[in-house]
Amino acid sequence: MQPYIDEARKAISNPVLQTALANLQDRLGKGAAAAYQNLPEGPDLRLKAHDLRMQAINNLDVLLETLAGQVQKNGGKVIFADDAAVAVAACRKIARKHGVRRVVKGKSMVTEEIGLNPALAADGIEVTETDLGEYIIQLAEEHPSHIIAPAIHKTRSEIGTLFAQKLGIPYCNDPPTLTREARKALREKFLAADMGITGCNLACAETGHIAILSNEGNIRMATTLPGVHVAIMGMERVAATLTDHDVLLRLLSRGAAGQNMAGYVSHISGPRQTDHQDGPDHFYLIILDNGRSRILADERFREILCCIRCGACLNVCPVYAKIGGHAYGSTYSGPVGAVVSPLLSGVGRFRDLVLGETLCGACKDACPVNIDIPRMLLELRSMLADGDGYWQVRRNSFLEKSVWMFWSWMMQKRARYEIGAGLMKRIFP
Amino acid sequence: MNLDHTFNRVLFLQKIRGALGLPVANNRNFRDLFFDNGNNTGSLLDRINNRSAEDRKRLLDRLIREGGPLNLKVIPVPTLEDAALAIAELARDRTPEWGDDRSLVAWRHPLIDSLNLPDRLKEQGIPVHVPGLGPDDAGLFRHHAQTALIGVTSADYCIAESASLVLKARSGQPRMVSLLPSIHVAVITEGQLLESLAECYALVKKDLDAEKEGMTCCMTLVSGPSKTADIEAVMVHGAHGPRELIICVISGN
Repeated sequence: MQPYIDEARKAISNPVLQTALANLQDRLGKGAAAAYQNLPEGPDLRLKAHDLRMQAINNLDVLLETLAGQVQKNGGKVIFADDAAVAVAACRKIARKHGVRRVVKGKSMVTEEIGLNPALAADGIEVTETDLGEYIIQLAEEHPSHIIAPAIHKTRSEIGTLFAQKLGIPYCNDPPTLTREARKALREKFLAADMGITGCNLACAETGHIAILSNEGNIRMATTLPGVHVAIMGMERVAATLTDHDVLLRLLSRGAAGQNMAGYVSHISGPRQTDHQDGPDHFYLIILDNGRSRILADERFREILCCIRCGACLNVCPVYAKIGGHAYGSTYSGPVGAVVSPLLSGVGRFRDLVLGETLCGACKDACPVNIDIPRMLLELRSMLADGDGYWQVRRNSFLEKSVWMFWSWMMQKRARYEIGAGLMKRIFP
Repeated sequence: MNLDHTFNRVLFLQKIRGALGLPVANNRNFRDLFFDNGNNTGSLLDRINNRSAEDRKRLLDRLIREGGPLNLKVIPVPTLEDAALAIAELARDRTPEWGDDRSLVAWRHPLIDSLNLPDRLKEQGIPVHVPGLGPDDAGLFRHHAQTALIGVTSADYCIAESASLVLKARSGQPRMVSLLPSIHVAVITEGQLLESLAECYALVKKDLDAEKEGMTCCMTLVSGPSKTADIEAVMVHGAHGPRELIICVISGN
């Protein structure tokens, strides 16, 4: 309990962070709502998207097999990783095979989830995060606090001081100048890298491609310049057909940043063809389970696998607005984090996240695929109260449970209620 | 730890089927589950093929309107000659970023070739590099692309609704031309304008079904210049990719 409360308290008493979070929600939260309204199909497209996501999840084995077959046909290699350890080992093995010394990374929450960077660093590989926000976080040796705006908790003067220290440039706190300095420093990294590692926003089984989105162009750099590209995807991130892909890509861009389309979308289906002048010679796709099949097996929570990690729910959540991302103490923060973190990493361990949300429903309304997060938070709470064998949750104390059962029994009949109320009046006149 | 791919794949998929409450052996296939009767694709293709001059004008207006807030400049030009003049002007006016010299890189592409940029810019002393197709030419071209001020490409399509260029990867048309230079100029014709991403995917699907090139190994949508808002949400253009994006649409009137 203590870390969540302590970190939340710290965040609430930090006026700079409070302003940043309010601005973020004002900009991105409202932006997404407006963007759903201007969909040609209208905002109800979110409901259709929910259906086609559920259909994909319910046929996940067939979709992944089709995807893998297509990628292999296009000359890529596919690795199925049961857990984080297998995925990390596969990455290290690929790096060794190609003699990789320098890695550039596109922003990817799944690589945070599996702890990839420290493992590669331990092999003597230089790993550079290239999304500007992630780069700032890496220089500061911190963790991201938002799915798409990882450095939202840092001020321009903090970043100015950081760059002065780490890049040896004169101090300044002007965002365009700081961005230009990062552009220069990272351009060198891109040109020298032998391997690019990215996540995958959404794959498509029909075509066998993965789509990766960015606004900065770092993902394009990481998938164009180095000789090897490794993409890591959570196994649920696949659409069946191009028709579904169209719907989901448009909703993802709107949910994430209120855009009709992200600045850059790369559809990658394999290594470069031999007569091409650029693009990687080798393409690997790592498909990760790491606890997802356990969620899949429980129909109460299967729906959370529809999530396409746009961050829209963070941008409207009244709890996230106050406590920020770090208080969640997990790779995934905000409402989606309050469901996914317990299910992936232990319900008991992340029980505070479940209890901390308000059930106000804003997250559901903001979700591009209309996931009922409040329903699942309630399921998790009932699990915490009653215990659950499948998720290895112990029930609340016998005393607490008994008191509530007695209270419930008293309230069920008017006569009992009145006796109780009369008693209480005597005790507390 | 077993990294045998086939072995892992079988177990991995079996585990998913187990979680879904399905038999261990799979008896379903993709085509049956996600049967697409092609009606929707067909009607989209009809719409694309039967576009009137008026429709195309409307798409151009939409592109200009959607591009505005994205800082994407759309220049409708009557002829190729005007597009070439616009590029020459940019090459003269803009300040080089990655070196002291002004230079251009351009795709090897019929529309771009006919702009005749190398000859046109020779008088101004500005070299224009086009990728060689030999196996040893790639390194040299990459060097040129790293220092170029402007990269000139065409595109497969341009989607009006989201102001997105659609670029497929092909020989002679490297991805870095639209990525490494400070400025990206795309030259397209009005006939390449599409209304929506759905139209673009319908064309890709038709191509896939005909076992033609499909998406190629990398199909990229570019909707505006590179941008970031990672420092206190202040919008800055030119994070990693080009800081300016200009689309010249040859409207032919």
